[in-house]
Amino acid sequence: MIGQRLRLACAASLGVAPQAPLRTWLLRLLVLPPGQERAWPVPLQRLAAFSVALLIRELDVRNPRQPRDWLRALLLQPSSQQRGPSPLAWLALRLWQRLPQALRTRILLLGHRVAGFDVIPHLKRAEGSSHQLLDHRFAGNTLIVLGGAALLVAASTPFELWQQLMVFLCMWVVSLYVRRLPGNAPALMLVMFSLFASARYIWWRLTQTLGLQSGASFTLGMGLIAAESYTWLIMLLGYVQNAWPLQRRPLPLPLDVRLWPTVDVYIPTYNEPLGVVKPTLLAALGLDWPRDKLNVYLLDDGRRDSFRRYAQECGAHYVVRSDNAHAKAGNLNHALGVSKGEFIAIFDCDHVPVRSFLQTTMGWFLKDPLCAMLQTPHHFFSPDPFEKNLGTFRRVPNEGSLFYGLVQAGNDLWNSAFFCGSCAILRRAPLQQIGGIAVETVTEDAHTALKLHRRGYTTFYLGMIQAAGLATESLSGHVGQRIRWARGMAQIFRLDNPFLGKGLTLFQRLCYGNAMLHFFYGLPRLVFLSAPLAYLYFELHIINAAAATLAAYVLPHLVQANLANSRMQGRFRHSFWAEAYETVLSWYITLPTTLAMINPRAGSFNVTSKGGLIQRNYFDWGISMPYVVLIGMNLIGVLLAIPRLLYWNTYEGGTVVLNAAWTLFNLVMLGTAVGVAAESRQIRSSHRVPLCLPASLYLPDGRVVHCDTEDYSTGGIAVRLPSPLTLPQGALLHVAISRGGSEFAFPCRAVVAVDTRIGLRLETLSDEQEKQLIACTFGRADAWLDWTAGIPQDQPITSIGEVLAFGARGYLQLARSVVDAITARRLRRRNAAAAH
Amino acid sequence: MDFDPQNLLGVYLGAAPPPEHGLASCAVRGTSWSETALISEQQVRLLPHGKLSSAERHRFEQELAQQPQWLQQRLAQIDLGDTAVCLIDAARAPSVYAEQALAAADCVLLVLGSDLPSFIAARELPWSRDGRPFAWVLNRADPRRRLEQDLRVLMRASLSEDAPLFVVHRDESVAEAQAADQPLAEYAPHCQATFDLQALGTWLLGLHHATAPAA
Repeated sequence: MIGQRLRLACAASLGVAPQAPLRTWLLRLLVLPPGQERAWPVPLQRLAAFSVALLIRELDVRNPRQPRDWLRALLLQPSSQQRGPSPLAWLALRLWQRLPQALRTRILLLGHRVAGFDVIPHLKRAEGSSHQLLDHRFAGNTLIVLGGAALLVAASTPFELWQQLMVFLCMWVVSLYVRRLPGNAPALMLVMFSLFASARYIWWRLTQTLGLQSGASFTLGMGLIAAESYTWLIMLLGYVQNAWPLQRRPLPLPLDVRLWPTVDVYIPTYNEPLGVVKPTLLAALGLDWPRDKLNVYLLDDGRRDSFRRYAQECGAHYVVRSDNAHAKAGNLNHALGVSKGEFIAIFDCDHVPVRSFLQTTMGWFLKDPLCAMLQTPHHFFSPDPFEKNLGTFRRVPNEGSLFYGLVQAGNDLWNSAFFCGSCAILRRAPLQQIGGIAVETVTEDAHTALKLHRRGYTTFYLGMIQAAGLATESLSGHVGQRIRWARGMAQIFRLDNPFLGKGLTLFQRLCYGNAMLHFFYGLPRLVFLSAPLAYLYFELHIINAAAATLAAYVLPHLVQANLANSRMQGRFRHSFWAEAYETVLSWYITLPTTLAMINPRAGSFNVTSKGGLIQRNYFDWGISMPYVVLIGMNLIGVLLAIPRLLYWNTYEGGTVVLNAAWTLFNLVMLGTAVGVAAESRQIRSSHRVPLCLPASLYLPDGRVVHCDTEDYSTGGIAVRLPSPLTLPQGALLHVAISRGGSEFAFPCRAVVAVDTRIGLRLETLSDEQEKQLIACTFGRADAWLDWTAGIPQDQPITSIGEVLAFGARGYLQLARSVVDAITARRLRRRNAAAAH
Repeated sequence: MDFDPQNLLGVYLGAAPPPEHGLASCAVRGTSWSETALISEQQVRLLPHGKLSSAERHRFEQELAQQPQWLQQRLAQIDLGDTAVCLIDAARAPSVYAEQALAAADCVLLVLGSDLPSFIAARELPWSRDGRPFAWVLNRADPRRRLEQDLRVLMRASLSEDAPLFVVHRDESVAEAQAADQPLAEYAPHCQATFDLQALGTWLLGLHHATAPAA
């Protein structure tokens, strides 16, 4: 009855016959019958009428029904009387004009205020006598407790699904705005958001999602939650560690040179060729420091005569010992007994210091008598295997730049800058007090710093590149080095755990703890790389949650962490590269760290070899095999997802999609890992460093051409001429470069000339000339000044694009290598058959 | 202005043979020197020294010794205008010519050969700077020589600190440009000597713009 009446009423208002077919109903719902008009809703009508009336008044439209008058009013000047706009319209107009400007000013003001905020802790630790910030122990601890309680409340408050989503949405929108503000306070705000999102996630995971079926899914589920808790902890520690990176500047030295202390420079070497050691030795001898207060020691564990002769010729002390106990650490400790200087500067034999190294760094030791160690960055002017094989050299920050750009500067705030074994200065007295360089572990450097901190000494970090060296050439070498670090850190964690024992502040414990725990990422990363397979293969639910709920919790966690890290680390590590770097190393690091945890005293020191040549392109099958296997497993997982989505598990499509997406992400990371394993050929044995300086080129006929240098290496210099020039083939030339007030000429021959660019190969130089060449090139104080200037700030979207592209390239290389391998085998077989 | 009895500046600017008449010859013979100025192809105006016999030169030098301001007075007679720069190429010091030039100059360029004797001579030279702008010019420098480094270190250490040191490299292009009768900057625009001289010229022009009265 009612239905019938409703139907009739609807038919009347839509203008259709009640018996009309559905098609007509639908049509009339959207299209009116001819001649009929439907009225606007009343509020809209009112608004429109008001606006039109206002426009007519303001524009002075003569006859509102005539379109012509509207046009005239809009395009031409008002005709007759000069009437000011009505107050309302005036206000609207002003607001419209002023709003962006006003907002902009507010934003800028806010930005300045926020930036001004930054100075306070800086002044305390970077300028003042060191510990004021950490001295307010009571205030600090209260803050920590309050903050922790607030975080706990925020994490444990139950939300409906939509509430959780809305909170995330608000946070995300605010973050997108906040991340553009200058200064460090906005970064802290993003960290807070990230902490909130991640704490909610991990709380939810721990309390709501662990109701798993017993058996395999329980075991795997527990493994996953352990891995996630580990990552969460590392993230938290990382935020503490990097909360406020200090931008320490050099302190000037006293004008009276007599007050400058004596410095010994140690250059330990074991099996490196003389060609690698020479530049370092010459640059160390060329350091700007009073001659009678600088002694250079070449510590040769290889006991080679050529080294002895060379050191003595160029004025360095040559030191050998009877055994090679404790490798580098033992070598340095032996030298401590030989030399007498108040300070000890240590350079690995391939780290060439710039002339200003001592003058830039020593000021801090004179300012703070408790300072026992000052570290400067390790800088590499050749590409590491990642940069070389992926072609990202100087475009994407490399693996080390996060540590030296951010982590050490962050450590510095908490007085826990680590000693990194090279490019650092130590004060002799504290070092001897702790018994010299630590020998218990394979990472003697970090352990030495830990011992110094336990004695209450301070350490500083000065983030200015004051020395540069060669990066490890091949992936296997790189991996070997990281394995050593990981094992050493695990050893320290077992033998001298920073969380236990006396003498450290809470934050020092946290910083050291993070540095060590950080190296246990291997196993968790492998868990993440294989976790979705448990579902895709065996339909094991290792997370007990609906896909939508999982997404509502995990997305804020991931997105906010990305935003916070992108802001904090943006200049030193681009988004998603951490995953790529970790993925490559995870397999190799897992075993050594685990073994070192079980038996910290086992194992020996392995020397990282450098300066090698990779003769041809090749694919390092040995090193990439674990990843090839993982790729295969993940590929099968993706394939299995298709029937699961379409036939087998149609009732839980969300879960299938989520796991498939996770697997795809893993595949991208694995692709990058495999891409790194494809070693590209390295032609030149000495790396070219860009350098633009005025120079003069002396031709054999006595003419001198003014030109600019383009790059240099230990064996040659490339110059750009102002105009093309025909040079006599193989004639002896000289290239002169000035440095300070002096000008140095080096004999050379032209080897390649392309247009106006000429590659010059240096002739055999005298010792004096070699010293001058190092002073003009690697030893220049400004040699590495703008090195990172060209690397852009992180853009998460661009970055994910890059990682995707590298992943794809990795697969292409893998496919090519597979084809190559098969072809080679077939050829071999055919040859063998022919031989029979 | 060529203020060297060798009378060779005209040759460098493209006048061959050396001009007969000039400032000195007219002064000695009592004729007017206002007609003796030359203009080179590159619009450089030159007042030559003029050829003197041996007796004439002695007389001229005596006159100069008696009137230390002689050159300054002659210069004052020339209507140079506010924007002109007058470069006096004086004979090697110590000589009456160098003394006259030093007395007349607003700015002094002391040109040294790239060897130890000329450095010592320059250091011993008695003259008062009187707050005038002043620069050292190390001529025919050659960093390929082993002594060169030491010489420059020595120079920087012992010469007055506020005076810049300009280096003009020994460059075959200079001699070739003279032989080709072309200005160096046209003959070899990219050679090191051109570059060095341009640096010196830039410094001089900068001084000139700083001291010249605003137009």
